[in-house]
Amino acid sequence: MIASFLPGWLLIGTAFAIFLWRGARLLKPLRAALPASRFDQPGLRLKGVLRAIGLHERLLKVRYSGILHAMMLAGFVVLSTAILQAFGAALSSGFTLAPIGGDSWIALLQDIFALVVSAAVAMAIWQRFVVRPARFAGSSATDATVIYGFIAAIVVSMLLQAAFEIDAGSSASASWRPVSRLIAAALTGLGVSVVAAAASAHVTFWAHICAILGFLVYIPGSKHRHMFLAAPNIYFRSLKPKGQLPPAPPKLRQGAAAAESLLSWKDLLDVYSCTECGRCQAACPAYAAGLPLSPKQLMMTLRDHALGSQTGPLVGGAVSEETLWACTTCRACMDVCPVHIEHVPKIVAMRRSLVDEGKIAPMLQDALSSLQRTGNAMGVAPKMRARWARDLPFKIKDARKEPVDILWFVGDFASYDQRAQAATRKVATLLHTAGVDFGILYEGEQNSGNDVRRVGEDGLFEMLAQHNIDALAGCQFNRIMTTDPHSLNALAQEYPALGANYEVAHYSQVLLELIDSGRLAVKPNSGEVVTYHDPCYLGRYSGGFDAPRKLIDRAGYTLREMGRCRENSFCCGAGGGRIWADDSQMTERPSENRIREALALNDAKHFVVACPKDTVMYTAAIQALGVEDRLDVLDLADLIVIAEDVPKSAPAALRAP
Amino acid sequence: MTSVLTLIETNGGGVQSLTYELLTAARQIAEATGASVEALALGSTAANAAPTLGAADAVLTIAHPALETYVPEAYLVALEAAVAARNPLAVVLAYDTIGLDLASSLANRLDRPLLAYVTRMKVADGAIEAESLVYGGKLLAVSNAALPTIVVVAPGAFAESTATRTPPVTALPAPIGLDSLRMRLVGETVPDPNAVDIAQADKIVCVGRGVKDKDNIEAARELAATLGAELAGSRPIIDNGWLPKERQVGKSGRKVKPRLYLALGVSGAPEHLEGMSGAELIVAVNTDSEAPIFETAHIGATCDILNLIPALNKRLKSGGAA
Repeated sequence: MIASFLPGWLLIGTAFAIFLWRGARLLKPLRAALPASRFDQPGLRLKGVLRAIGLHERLLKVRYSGILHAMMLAGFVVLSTAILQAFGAALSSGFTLAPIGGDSWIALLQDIFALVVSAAVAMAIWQRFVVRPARFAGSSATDATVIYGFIAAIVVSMLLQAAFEIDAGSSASASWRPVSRLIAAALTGLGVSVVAAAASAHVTFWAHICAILGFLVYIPGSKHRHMFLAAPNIYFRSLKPKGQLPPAPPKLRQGAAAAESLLSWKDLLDVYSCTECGRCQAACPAYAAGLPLSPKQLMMTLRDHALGSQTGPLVGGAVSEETLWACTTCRACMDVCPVHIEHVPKIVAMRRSLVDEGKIAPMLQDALSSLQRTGNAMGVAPKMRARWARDLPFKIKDARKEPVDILWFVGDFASYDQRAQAATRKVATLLHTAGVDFGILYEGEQNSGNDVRRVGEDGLFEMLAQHNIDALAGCQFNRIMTTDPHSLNALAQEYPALGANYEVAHYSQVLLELIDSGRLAVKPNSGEVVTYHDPCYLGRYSGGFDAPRKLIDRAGYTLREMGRCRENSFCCGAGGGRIWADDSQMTERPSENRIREALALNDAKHFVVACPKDTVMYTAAIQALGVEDRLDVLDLADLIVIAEDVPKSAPAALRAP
Repeated sequence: MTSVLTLIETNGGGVQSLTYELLTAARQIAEATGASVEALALGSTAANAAPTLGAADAVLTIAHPALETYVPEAYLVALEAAVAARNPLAVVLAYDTIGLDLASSLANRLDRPLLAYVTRMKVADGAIEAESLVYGGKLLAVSNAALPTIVVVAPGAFAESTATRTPPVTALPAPIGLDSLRMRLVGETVPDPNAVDIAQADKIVCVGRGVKDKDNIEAARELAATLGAELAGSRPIIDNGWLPKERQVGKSGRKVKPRLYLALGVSGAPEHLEGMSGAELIVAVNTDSEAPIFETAHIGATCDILNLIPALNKRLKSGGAA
């Protein structure tokens, strides 16, 4: 009796042993990697896992793929009962799920979901080999094909086994298996005898077991790993503010650029979890611009390097310098990733090692040395910072000398770039008209350091940040307002890690408050059609999606959204230090790609932005495309026309100090 | 009799014209102090040029395999040996690659003062009062140093000597330090003779979007040729492929500081201004009187460059006649 189960025990035992051995090999590099503390707040972490997997929150954003994945996942849950039954039968004589419905409703569900899974496999094959979305470029089609084969084999062998059992008269659940009964009838029609059916049931039973075990052994070397790793990877996701990069590891200071000194165990778990779905690649502005960066292929390279199938140095070897410098840190990849991979921190970690080795492009080097020397990337004298305010009919308070309600952190581009200065003056005029008690730091302000940090120059970032923190420490204010979303991110999300906590608002938020509280009377426009570009660091990083849209509405314009809006906004190409990089290798600048998208709306006359870098990038893009007659760039502030009957209210704090 | 020592710079055989400027400077010091001028020739062939070095009273040579090409450490060791042998009142070097490489090291090793980027000298009472260019030539500094000293002369500040008498040649022993150098020549990279470096140009004609069509570039090229200027373009011109990338002026192109910058139909985006605002004389022509280029230009005119370019070219070619 025992002997008859020996093959089952041997087969299943061997398969599990190989699976565990392969899995252990995967996890070994994790032990040598950098630490990451991702064990706090279990409740919040678990909730995220349930939302991601249970609700398919991100997966369903690509509807077809999301639905087929849901079908596949639901099928897997239901068919796991069949797997349990099969293993039970192979390992012992008395195992049965009959007491809980194994021969009734569970059998019915298995039959139905066998069809659902088959349909999902067909949909997946159709998508991968007929539709062939561009996001699959660079993914392993072989791996995907093998996976479809295993899933199909598991389902088909299960259905055949049930059908043969029905024909052999040995099925206890025949009446609950409509699909299997149909197949059984067909097999009878083909002349399958009762004896042959009994033998075939035995064969298909083992075929089913073998298909399951084969898949199990195959999974650790396949993207289908995500079946086991997606949940823990989402569970261990970063709960830190989105715009706060992890600190530079101390080892890096000694110039070690080996993968283990750059990547944490969570980074490795990330790259193992990658399903090569390519949603990141489709969202990536650098990839669209023809630069040698695909977030997906970068994750695959990191994975192959961690597993030893790619040898040589990681940074500058397996991953080229050009790939690392291509990233705009726009976060589009991270926000679409169904398994919550954190691409940007890995890229910045690798950039840090390039900066450590002094491997910086000349243009970027220029910008960094200007920042060090003058506190701005343009290399202009600090005392020129507030020159834009010279032509105003009123004097802006020096926040270093007197208390203010709102301390306005203007930022480099809004201060120095003449294309952005007009909007800066308009914001000042609006605040002044509304009687806001505000001031600026004059030459006491320096670049916030947001992009410097993303370039990988942490030392310079700390210098700039500390300068601003010290300057702000000498001022009395209730909250800070920024023009540039990049400054917003630095002040609100990065500086707290240096012990500086402020209430920071973007000017879109402040202007909206002023209008809605009646302090700023607006003469509405007649409903001209505009489109709006969500800046990455205002939208994806800071969640500021609604205030700009409400402002457009209050100003009386009609908003026509581009396809890629809000979380899916398409980066202008300036972030992460790209504004200081050479763009001559691009096939199409992201800013020009974006302007073409706006032009395709046909009726939008103005391209509205809420970031001075956008003003610069898109003004240049419109010029480059020669479409000045069809579209112009307007800042949110430009839309607001002050009504002439504005009550001259006495200056007072928006809120009591 | 004391001497003033200078270095003969050769480049693949011929004597660099700078050497003759050094001889003039050295002669000025020699005349004021009653010293002789000695020119140091390094390598086996350097002394061949002796017949052209008439401004020197003597030519000294050091021959050693390590001195056949310019290796900073070898030259430094040889210079130090020559100074030890002749104890000159002054060592005169040029403010070029060799001077930049060696002058401060030499001064440090000899513990003698260094006068750098010298454009004029007064030699009296055992000291040199020198005028030097500082801050990239924006300021003149006057400084004093007692002899003996090292003087590094700015190129172009002294006239080239033309005397043709052949001075006597004396060989100095090669210092043993040349046998144990830590620095050696691995290879030479010769710049592409066809490559243009607009950053080196004295005059630049830069065209912007005002040129409107690729075919109009040709007229601008002719104008540049007449002016003896390099033709350059702003970003849109390079974007359109009308001019090659190496001719782009601006943040993402080259930063230029020519003596004349003629901006034709360039609006003057900040990224462009960043690349050319240091030019000595900026002349801008644009149809839009509000174009930001006019804030940076020294001379501006509003007219259509497509009319201006051929007319200006014609006028220049005819030597100014209408």
